[in-house]
Order: sequence, then C-alpha cells, then structure tokens
Amino acid sequence: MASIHLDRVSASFPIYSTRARSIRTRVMAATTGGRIRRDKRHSVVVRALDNVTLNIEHGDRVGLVGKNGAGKSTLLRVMAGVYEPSSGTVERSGRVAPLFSDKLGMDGENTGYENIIMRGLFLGFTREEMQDKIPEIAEFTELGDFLNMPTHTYSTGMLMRLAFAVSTCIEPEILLMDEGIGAGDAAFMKKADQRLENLVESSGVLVLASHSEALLRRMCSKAVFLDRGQVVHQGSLEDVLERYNETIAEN
Amino acid sequence: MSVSRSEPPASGGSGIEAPLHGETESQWLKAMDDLRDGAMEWRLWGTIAWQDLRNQYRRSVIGPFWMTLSMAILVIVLGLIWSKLLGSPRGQYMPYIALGFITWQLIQNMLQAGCKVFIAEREVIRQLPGPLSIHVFGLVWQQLIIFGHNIWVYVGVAIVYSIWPGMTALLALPGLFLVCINVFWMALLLGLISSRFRDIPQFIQSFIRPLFYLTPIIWSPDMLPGRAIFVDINPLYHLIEMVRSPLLGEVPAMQSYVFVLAIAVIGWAVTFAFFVRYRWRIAYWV
Repeated sequence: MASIHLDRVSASFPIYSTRARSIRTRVMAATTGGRIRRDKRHSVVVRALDNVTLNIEHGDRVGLVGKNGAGKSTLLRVMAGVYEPSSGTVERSGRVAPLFSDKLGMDGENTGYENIIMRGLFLGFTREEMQDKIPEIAEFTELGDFLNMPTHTYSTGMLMRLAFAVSTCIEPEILLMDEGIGAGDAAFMKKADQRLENLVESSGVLVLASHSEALLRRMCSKAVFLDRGQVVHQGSLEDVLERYNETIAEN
Repeated sequence: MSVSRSEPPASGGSGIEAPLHGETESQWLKAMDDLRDGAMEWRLWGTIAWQDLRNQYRRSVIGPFWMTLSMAILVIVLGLIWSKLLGSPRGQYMPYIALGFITWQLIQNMLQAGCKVFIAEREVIRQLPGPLSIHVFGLVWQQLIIFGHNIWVYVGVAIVYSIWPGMTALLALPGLFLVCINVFWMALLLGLISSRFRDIPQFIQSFIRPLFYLTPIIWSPDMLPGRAIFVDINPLYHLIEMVRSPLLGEVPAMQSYVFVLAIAVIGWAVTFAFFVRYRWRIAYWV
C-alpha cells in the first residue's frame, strides 16, 4: 500500500550569497515565498517548509495549491526523497515516479531511447526491464524516429511527452507532478489525461501541484493549501479551493 | 509579516520541535547506505560513464581514440624535447614520461571533475532520488576507461624501445586500485565542499599546473641534488609511483606504499565525517 507520512517537516535553504543581507531586506516586505529567518550563524535562511504534517494514504489524489514560492515544489521534492528535510520525518512506502518541470533530469546529448533507459535505471529498474517497456513507451510518446535523436533537439513539449511516458509506464505507486503537463499539445493532453486517470484509479497516490483549477478538479479529490511554507488548510478539494480563492480575493 | 529574527532553534509554531536533521545518529547509517547502494548501482553509473564519454566524441570519426592520439602526441613531442634538455637517454625517458603523463591525467581529471561531480549533475540530483555516490563511482569508472585508452601509448613506447618490465608489471594493478581508492575520496570530498563553496573548483584549477611541475613527471627525483622534502611528502608523487614503477620493472618503494595507505585511511576518515554531516545538504546546495 502506497502512502506518504510527513511529521513536522521543515526544509530550509541557507542563502550564502554575500549580498544575502540586502536580499533579505528586499524580501522582508514580500508576502510571497517561504519564511526568512536568521540562523545562529547570522546567515539568512529561507524556510521553504515550516512544520508540515501531512498524511497521504493509498488512493488519495492530492492537489497542492498556493502562490508562487509557497513551497509546493519543495514539498514535492521532499516527498520524492530528493530533499531530506532539515527537521521532521518523512515515511514513504511505494515506488515513486517524479515528474517535475525543468529539464526533467535528462541528458540532452543522449537520444530519446537512451534517456528512457537512464530514467528507468534511476527509478530502480534494470536495463532488461526497461528494454521490455520501450515499445509501449515509444508508442505513447508518438515521437517515432525522433527517439533516435539527442533530446536537446526536442521541444519542451516533446521532452514532456518522453518524461511523462516513462514515468507513467513504469506503473508507479506514487506519482508526483509539478504543474501538470503544461507543455503538451491538445491531442497529447487529452491522451495524457486519460492515462493519468487510469493510473490514478489503479495506483496508490497522486500528488499534483498546479495553478490550474480545471486540472485539479479533474485529477484530485483532496487538496492542501500552502502559504509561505505552512499548511493553511487541508481537506476536500472544493473546501480548499474555496478557501484559497477567498485568500486571493482578500489580497 | 512572517519574517522573524528569533533565536534558533526557531520553532515552527506548534511548540514541539522535531529533531533537527544532520545531527541524528541515523545520518551515519544513511551515509554508509549511500556508498553501498551507490556501489550496487554499477549498471547505472557504468552506463552514465560510458554515455558521457561517448557523447563527447559523438559524430567524431575516431571517437574516444582521440584520447589515445592526443596522449601520444603529448608524449612524443614533450618526451623528445625534454629528453634532450635533461640529457636522458630516450629509451629510459620516453616510457617514464609516458607513464607519468597517463597516471597524472587520471589524478588531475579526478581532482578537476571531482569538484564538479555534484554540481554538474544538479538536474538529476534535484529530480530523481537515489544515492549521491553513484556520481563519484561513475566518475572513477570514466577515468579508468580513459586510462584504458591512454595506456596504449605506453604499450607503443615500450614496443618501440623494447622494454619488458617482467612480472613486476602486475604490481601496477593493485597500484591502480590504491590510486582509485584515493582519488575516490578526493573527488567525493571536493565535490561536496565545492557544491557549497563555489570558489573551490577555481582554487583547485589554479593549483593543478604548479602541482604538475612540482611532482616528478617530466623530471625524476634522482635528478635532484639529494632528496627534496616536496617530493617525499607529495602524495601525488607516491600515487603516480604506484603505477609507474611496476610498469618500468621496479617495485615501488615501501615508503610510497606506506604513504599511499596512510592518506587513504586519513582521507577516507575525513571525507566520511564530512559526508555523514553534510550528505543531505548536497541536494539543497547544488
């Protein structure tokens, strides 16, 4: 059974820049982003997550909402095991497939096929297992001969197709997504949505950080509202969205 | 307003403070696991090392054999000039400088690339969970592959000057292993510190060339009047001796073995202490 339990998890980023002080004064007035403190050595620390306690159980489809810099991506990375929290504990059971934005952890010099294998190896599969999955993954991406080309020749949408196909074909028990699959075209989005829905039904846990209410409504049943690294509200998706929209309206 | 300047530990609001990370006993175990799991993932780092190397030579006709070729050019040109300058017979000097260059290249690459071992992989580290040590294992493996390409230059030189080191040459294998154990900790330590302090790569970079001249590679210690302290205590000299001497048909000095084993033990102890303490921070730092 897949589950993620976070107990009083905090994650803080030390800022080492010599201009940290001036950055601090600039950020002082901001309501966006994590909490900024000074630690014992008088350097500046951004608390991206502040005492977050969450229990995500098998079958939960959780949306993360919050402003830019509220800690959504950091929370996903903590859940994935990429970041170890500065304090608190994370317990996770189930195979994780992270699907974060940026370069998706691929080497642009490698071909599509090579990146499929590499990503699989990183996610705990053997080369042979991945080779068996290649036809299915290749078909889903619809990239055809492009899979023989280095991925730096790909567009963002094509990269997304590849990463999405790998992450979903390995039948993950925990799927962590940042901002959905924004770069896909309409046809692919539809296909991807369908696939996600199937996956969510069969697999354990989905955590999706997104600003798109439509996407959240389609994929999630529960939600967590993060603000400056703290959980402001959690519960059913409707409740949380209502609360979130109220907060936005107030500002 | 959410900016506070409270004295640490800053409590998150609930009153009960969760145990601080990085100071728990389990960090020791996690560091051990990282190294062990990293070693077990040899398929992964083996693939990364190969692909990385091959990508550098993609669309090149002779590919990775450029490494062999450029080493050969270096050895021939510098070997001929310096043997003349130093008045050493070529038959002795050419194999000496070839082995010196080839082993030095391994050490130098490990120091330079070691600084970037985590920084260069930031996309992967921030995207996919897994043991961090795989990047160091991959780097060592990659350098061994390069060494495997370069060593043919020595084979060529040995054939040209009809040198046969005899069975003593087999000592180069444990020698190379000892070199790897040492460059591993160096890369891990430098990589860790460099991901936090970005001046370290530049610092190392600016010392590489002086170190090259300070280490007996194009000259040999017996050219000096008497023993020089900067040779005796130079770890890089003793590391190179591990591989160079056996392939020249001489058993490395006991002093060199003692020195290399000593820096392996001390280096690993220091590196492991750092790794236990700061391993979890690397993902934040890169």
